[in-house]
Amino acid sequence: MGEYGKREEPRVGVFICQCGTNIGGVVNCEDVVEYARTLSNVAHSEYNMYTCSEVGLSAIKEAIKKHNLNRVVVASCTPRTHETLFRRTCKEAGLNEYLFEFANIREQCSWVHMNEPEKATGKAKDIVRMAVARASELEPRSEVEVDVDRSCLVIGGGIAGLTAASSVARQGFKVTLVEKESKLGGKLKQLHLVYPTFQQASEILQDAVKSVSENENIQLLTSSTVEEVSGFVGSFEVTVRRQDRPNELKVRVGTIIVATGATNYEPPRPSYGYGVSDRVVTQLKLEEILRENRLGRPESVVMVQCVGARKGETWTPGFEELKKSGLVDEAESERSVEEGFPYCSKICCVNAIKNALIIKDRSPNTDVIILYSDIRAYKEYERLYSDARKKGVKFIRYIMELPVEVKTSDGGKLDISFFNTLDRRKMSLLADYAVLSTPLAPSVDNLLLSKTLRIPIGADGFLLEAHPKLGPVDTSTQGIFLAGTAAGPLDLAESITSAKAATARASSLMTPGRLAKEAVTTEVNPTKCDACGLCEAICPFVAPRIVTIDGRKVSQINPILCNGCGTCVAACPRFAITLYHYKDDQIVSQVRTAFSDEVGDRAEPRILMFTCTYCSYAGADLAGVSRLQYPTNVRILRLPCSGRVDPYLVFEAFKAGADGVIISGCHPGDCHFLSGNRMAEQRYKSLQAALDSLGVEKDRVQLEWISASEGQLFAKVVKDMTDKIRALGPNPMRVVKE
Amino acid sequence: MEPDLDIPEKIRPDPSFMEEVLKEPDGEKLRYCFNCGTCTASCVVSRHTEKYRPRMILHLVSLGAKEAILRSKEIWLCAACNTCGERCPQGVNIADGMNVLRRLAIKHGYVPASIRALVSRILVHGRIYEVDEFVEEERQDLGLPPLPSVDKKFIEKLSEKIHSKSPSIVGSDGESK
Repeated sequence: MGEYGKREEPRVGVFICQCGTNIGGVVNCEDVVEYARTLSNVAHSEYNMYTCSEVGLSAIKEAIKKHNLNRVVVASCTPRTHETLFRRTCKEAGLNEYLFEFANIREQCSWVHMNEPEKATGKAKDIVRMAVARASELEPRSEVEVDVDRSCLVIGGGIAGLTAASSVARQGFKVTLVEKESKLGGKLKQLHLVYPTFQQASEILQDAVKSVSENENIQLLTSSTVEEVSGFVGSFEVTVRRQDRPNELKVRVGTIIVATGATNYEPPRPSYGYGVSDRVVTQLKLEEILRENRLGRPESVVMVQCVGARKGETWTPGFEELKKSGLVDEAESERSVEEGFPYCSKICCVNAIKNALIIKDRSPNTDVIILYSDIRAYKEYERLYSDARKKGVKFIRYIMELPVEVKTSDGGKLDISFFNTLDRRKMSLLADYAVLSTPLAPSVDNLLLSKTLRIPIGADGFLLEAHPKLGPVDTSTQGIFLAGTAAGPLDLAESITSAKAATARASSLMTPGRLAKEAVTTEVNPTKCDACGLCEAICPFVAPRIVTIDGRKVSQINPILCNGCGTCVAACPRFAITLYHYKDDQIVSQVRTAFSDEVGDRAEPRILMFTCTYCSYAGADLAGVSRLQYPTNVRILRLPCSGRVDPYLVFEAFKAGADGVIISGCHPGDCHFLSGNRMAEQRYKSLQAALDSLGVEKDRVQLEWISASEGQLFAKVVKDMTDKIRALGPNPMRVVKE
Repeated sequence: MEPDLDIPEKIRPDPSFMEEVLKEPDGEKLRYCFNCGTCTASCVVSRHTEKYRPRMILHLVSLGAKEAILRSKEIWLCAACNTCGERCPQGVNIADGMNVLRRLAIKHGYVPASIRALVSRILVHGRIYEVDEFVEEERQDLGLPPLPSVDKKFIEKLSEKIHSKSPSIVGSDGESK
């Protein structure tokens, strides 16, 4: 896995880019080049007009050959633009890509200190010095590759599962489709007409089943469940239990798509009159009644929205005032928080409107009244709402925080009473049917599924996607994707879309048939590890496992699953884990050289900032792109994640002469590595206690959340911290030269 | 005295009343009402009565509380200033709507005594009030031209029509149904 070659004597080449006047107009590049020559390990130093041009790249390649360079530092723009380009250039010259280091002297120097050319030049020198120190510690790395089996397991044979299975199979991959019921179709079997086209659900189902049964690439296993899943992306080992067979079936797949769907919530009897009369039904039951044409021509039908949904908070504006006004019985309103889910199920509004239109179509004289709190008819479904209004469907706004009572009444009618918000009074409707619009709820299988597949469940009980924007159908486990309502309420069209998205994601792994991982991965030193299990517990990607080797328990990290955040590295109490390319000595080399030289007063007070690549570092770049000006006092270190910041690095910073330290990461909930920033926050809290014992003021260390879009916030943080540290004075651990 | 609008607590939804209203001229637009209450908020009369609420009236119409609406005195209180119609976000002219309800009330035999009294006086005097000698003299003194005399034939024709089409609107005894 790792390369423990003997470290040769570093011969660093430093290439300063003028970038036209972008850098050259502020920073004196000649000065920096001269300065670089004086640094230890630097074998060559030059500057170019545009290092990223053909000319610039050739110059690098020539210099590598001519001066026998084994490390390259380019000081120019942000690595987020050209790191790949320069790495490739090194590779072409015969140098391992991971022996290249980028120094950002544009977005984080010349562009943000345009009025202070002297200080900017000084800062550029510091940045180059830090980069050279780090480059000297870098080691060659190679990427790890695994094979990805060109086969996929689809769990669930509803519309999402069927769509995913046939889409994947059509591309030539083998599919195993496992469905727990004896018939395919999931919820679609129970629907009648679907919106907005009012097609028969059975037609759509027929087509979907056909495309699966006719495809030879699909192995269909009904009345079956997934018992066990082991292995990892590219080579999952799946055990399927079949109801009618004694033996289990074992199958090996490269990817997994989870399309296990959701259930329809039913309120506990007798709330909302459920169970009191057979004319109080859920919308799903109404589908069945309409499909079998059993509704007849009732005088009136009342639909109640949000039954068992949006519970737990007060949504209705003015509800508090209403309680105070005495129009509402205080005791009643306390009773109202019954069972249910806190979220909105999205589809019930349009579904109710659709069913209302069907009823009006078949029986125009039936009065259909929908009791709503808010009508969510999005996309083109607004048209369905207008149609419903035009056809005489009535909408009455009720307060959902107060109970809706459904009782049987004289003459066989149902007495449906509720609080009418517009009339500001309680009223009853005497109707023939009460239809309760209930939410899609998480399937009861989710808990077991999440354990079997090692994928997390969200707070609402549905399966959790990796990131709502960066990974909407991914899970935190590589190779396992989500499709359909298993992840949350979706309508038919959206379920199909998500199934196709999952197909695309799975195909992106299966088509090349190989998965290459960037070489920034971790490794455990088995002699130091005492199998405490902390790394296994905190890694959101399930990369570390405690295994037994030669009778001894140690942690072993799967480099394919490891995302390279380094949170485990900072957590390990034995310092047993190494994150290659962000090793302790590589980071410390930067910390120690940040203020090691004659920085003079260009960096008084001295502030070191640990940033995460995806958010804070990008935020700093944005400040540069926006040409926001801020003080020259901060020296920035780039780490994969704020979770990599081990508290001892902060002590190193103070020992090295920093007056203040900023740890910055993604906003809570947005961490690119899911939970690294949470660990950073926890460590920051314990760090504060430790600082006291060192005699260092707590305020000298700050934790900040800066996102990639917050350039202004970044500049503000730098300004505020500079002012604050200036007021505190030099760090007591520092030896101040007179 | 006609009863105040009795807002029923239990309503048995009946779409036929709404359909009846929609069929009347000026009634079609009432379908668009979504109960925002802008009409009531703007209404001049609402400010001075406790029960006259145009929004509530339209709401009850849509739910089918026919008896309650047609029997009430409230539908006769509209001043026809049209502030509601001007401001309605859905373009509904509520003032016209009140007119529709009045027509339907009469059709179903609910006529306020005051209306009856007005109509019977028109049928007798040709005017809402009798123009007697005092009035004629005053007019002369002020230099105003004399009023045209009442066309008896026209009054007869009008009386015939009213008796055949809406007999309940006539009656000087002040009795309401």
